[in-house]
Amino acid sequence: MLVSQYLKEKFCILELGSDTKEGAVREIADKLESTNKITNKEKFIDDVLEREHLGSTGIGNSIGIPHARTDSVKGFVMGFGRSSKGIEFKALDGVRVKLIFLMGADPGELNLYLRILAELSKLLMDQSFRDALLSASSEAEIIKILKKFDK
Amino acid sequence: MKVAEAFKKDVIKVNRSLSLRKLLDLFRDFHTHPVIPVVDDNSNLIGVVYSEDLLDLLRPQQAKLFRNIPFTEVNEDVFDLEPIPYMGELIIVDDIMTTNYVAVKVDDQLEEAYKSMRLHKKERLPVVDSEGKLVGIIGLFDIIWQMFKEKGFV
Repeated sequence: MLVSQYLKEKFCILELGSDTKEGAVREIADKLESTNKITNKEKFIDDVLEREHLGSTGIGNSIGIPHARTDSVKGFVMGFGRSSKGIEFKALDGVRVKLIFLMGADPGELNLYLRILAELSKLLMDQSFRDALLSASSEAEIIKILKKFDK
Repeated sequence: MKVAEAFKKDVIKVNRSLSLRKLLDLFRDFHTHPVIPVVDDNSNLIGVVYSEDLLDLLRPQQAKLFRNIPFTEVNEDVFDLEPIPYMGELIIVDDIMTTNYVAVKVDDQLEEAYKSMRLHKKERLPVVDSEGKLVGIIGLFDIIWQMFKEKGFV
């Protein structure tokens, strides 16, 4: 329930233009800027990439959940981007990432971040959910799929 | 009496890229430490992980706010957790460490350290030098022992 509460259509990108991790994070971060919850976008991107450097969030099955606890975010933000070709993420299973969920939270928002991570991971275990996201034809459809599965 | 006289130099520390799985192994091997300091490459203290933080992973549904109020733990669901796939690798120390931790300086008075423990309800605090580098850890027992020693009991 939390995922569909925080992920909005305007923060989704049906097809990412970039084919690098940094480019993808930047594209989604650009979308999230309109929330006014990101106080410093460049630092947010840097912090996400630094966190990736500590350990990849490519958890397998073509999923990446890049994130950062950073003081350049107020509260919590979440965005999504899809890449049909896949992006090299140094994922645990070595497979390129096609579904990217970007999250940012201020350092105090640990609880919410963990709750959403738990929900998201559970959702993404479902092959039919992943397939639906991969074949969605619009950002609106992504949100529809999310609401359908996120109960 | 200063912290310098009572603290322990022998301390288990981790860096922020350590995976949850490896962190759990550490806590298991050194279960007497309810707190593990997190340091950067230059030994600067940058955070701590309390066993409480690990418990949060098992009961993420519960708002932290209610946890400090007695009898409000209506749903102690730590035993009902559905494991999240890859959590052991996906989550690293950086994701869960507390960054607004309490530490004491090696030159602080022991009394200050004791007050700090009482105030923040922690039985162990990391000890740093004047530059913020981790030099050890001090526990309530270390202070108690020092007091007894001072009075000539030990």
